[in-house]
Amino acid sequence: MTVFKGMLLHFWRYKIMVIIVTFLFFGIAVLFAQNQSGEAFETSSMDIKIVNEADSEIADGLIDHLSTNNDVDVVNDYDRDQVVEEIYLMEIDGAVVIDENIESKFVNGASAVELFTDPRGTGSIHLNNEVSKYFRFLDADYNYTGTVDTENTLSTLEHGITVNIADPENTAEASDFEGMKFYTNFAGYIIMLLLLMFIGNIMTEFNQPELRDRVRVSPLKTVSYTAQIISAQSIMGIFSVLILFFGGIFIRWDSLDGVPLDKIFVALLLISLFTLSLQFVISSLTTNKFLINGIANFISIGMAFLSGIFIPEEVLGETVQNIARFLPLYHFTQIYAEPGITWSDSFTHVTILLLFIIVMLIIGIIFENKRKSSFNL
Amino acid sequence: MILMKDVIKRYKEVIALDHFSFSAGENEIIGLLGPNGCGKTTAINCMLSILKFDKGEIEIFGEKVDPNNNDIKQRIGVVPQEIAIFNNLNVVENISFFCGLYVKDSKTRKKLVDEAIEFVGLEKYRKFSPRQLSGGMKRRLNIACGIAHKPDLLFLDEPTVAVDAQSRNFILEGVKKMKDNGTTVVYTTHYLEEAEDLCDRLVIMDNGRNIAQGTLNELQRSISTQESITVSFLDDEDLRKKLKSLPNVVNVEKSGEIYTIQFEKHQNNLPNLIKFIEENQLTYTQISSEKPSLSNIFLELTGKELRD
Repeated sequence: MTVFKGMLLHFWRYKIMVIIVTFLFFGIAVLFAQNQSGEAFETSSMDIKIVNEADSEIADGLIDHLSTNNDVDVVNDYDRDQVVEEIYLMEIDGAVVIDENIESKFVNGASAVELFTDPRGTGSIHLNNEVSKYFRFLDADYNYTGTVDTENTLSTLEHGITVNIADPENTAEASDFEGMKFYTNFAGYIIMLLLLMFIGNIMTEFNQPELRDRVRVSPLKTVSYTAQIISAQSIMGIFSVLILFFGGIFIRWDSLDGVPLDKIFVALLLISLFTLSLQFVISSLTTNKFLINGIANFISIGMAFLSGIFIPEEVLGETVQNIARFLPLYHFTQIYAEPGITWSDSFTHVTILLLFIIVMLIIGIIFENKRKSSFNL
Repeated sequence: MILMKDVIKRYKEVIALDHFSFSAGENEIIGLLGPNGCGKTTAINCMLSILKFDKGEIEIFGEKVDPNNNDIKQRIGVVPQEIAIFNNLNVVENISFFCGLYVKDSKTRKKLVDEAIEFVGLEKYRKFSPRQLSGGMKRRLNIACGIAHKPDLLFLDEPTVAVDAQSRNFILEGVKKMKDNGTTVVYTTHYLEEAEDLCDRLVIMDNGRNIAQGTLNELQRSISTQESITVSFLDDEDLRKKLKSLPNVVNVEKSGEIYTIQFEKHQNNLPNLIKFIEENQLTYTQISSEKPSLSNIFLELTGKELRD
């Protein structure tokens, strides 16, 4: 187990860097988790100043209507510039000036109130809507009965309906799933990057021709050497998967309804195995650390973008989506693509990832044998 | 212990070993000498089964070498020419790693690692990373990694290249100690003074061939020059023609007022020269006689300087 322990010892040398990268990852994951809380509707009240210059039932009705959900300050006179400044400084959301001839103006269909709002803010729309709603209902009632009845209008405006969102899935579960899906996508990318970089750097040490020769002249069998290298790499891969998988569960422990954890675990395990087999190919081609770090970044970031890890694939063009289907990271994301995904739904993607791993191992073995034969020149 | 017979190794059109034969007995230090590119490392790599050879036979410990013969490998130690250590592991970890390829028992290994550290004098640097060690200390660590498992046969491939004098002496003393402990050492170098000082027997290689082998005395006897006398005259006259007429003289070289006279036989050459000086009433300031050096041997055998 000398080689196995030696590799783990090398990995241990990178502990500080691994811890920093892991903490950065979890920090980013937590930040994203907070922003991925799903769609929510909030109610908010406006601060409205009403200048009531009229002594009228219509004016009182408007004040009552606006007071229902907002903070209303009713005054009898005003300074136009001061009101504009208050709106500009966001002290109030808007002001309504009720004309002293509101009744006659309403009956004649003329504009009965003057509104002051900041058109850049949403308060402007809300205030316009509320005032317009009041007068439309009042007008409808007046046209129908021939009298002004503000109480009837206000009572009509209080009517509401219960709306149920027609979604067959439980929305909370869907929200939990989306959050964990995003986390797993990112975790897949991080696993690729970490394993390619750290194991790549460790393997450059082990693959130095002088060191390889030293191992070759020893009584350690090649099979045993290879088995120990693969075991150590697998341990590192599994370790990364466990940290990121259980880290995800820890971060989102109260938001795991509807999340297919078993599929996510298998997907992470498969992507780490694919990365190790890819690493095998790279390390059989070069022992240059700079090149390995460059390839690690290029492959992981490139695949992540094309496979919709950072950007939803729907946003990407059709050509990019077609290319993505040939990339392992795409199939990694498809293993846990839906909240209620079954094993039979994931089967195709699991199989494709396994095929990717086998193909990479075969390519790696071919390159490795070529490299060994070049030693024997 | 080692028997190499008519080994041929080609790198495409280049013949690296040309019917190379060589043998080494138990408990001796045998030096493989030759200029860079003469095939020393190739010969070692063939013995170690790192390289496949095209023709010939190699036996070590009475068995044919084979990449899968782990019994032979278990008894061999190798110190490669290039420093082959892990930069991310410290001194103890490096030695323990390479010793672990031979020795499975951890307690035994720990003891062997401690002994190897003591042997190469790196006790104070046990936890040092190779990056913190000087070139000479790295060489010592490289040696410790190759000898920790106490091999019966040790290959040392130019272990003193680019090493300071202190580390060089340490390494040479260590090699002598290993021999005293019963290890056979195959030592390649192109430092002749090292080979003269260290080796029981020498094999001189050139263009992949074994051009001469034997003890230093045997090699000295095998060449035409047997004695070299250096004399410094105060006279202005060019004495080369007169000196060449002396019995047994092979060659006379003049550098300023110093003459180097080479004799083919070691027979009363110095008395004859003194008699010649007296007869010609010449004045000299110093005179010395010496046997041919390894450098002379190499020059005569190959026609070129060893450090070419």
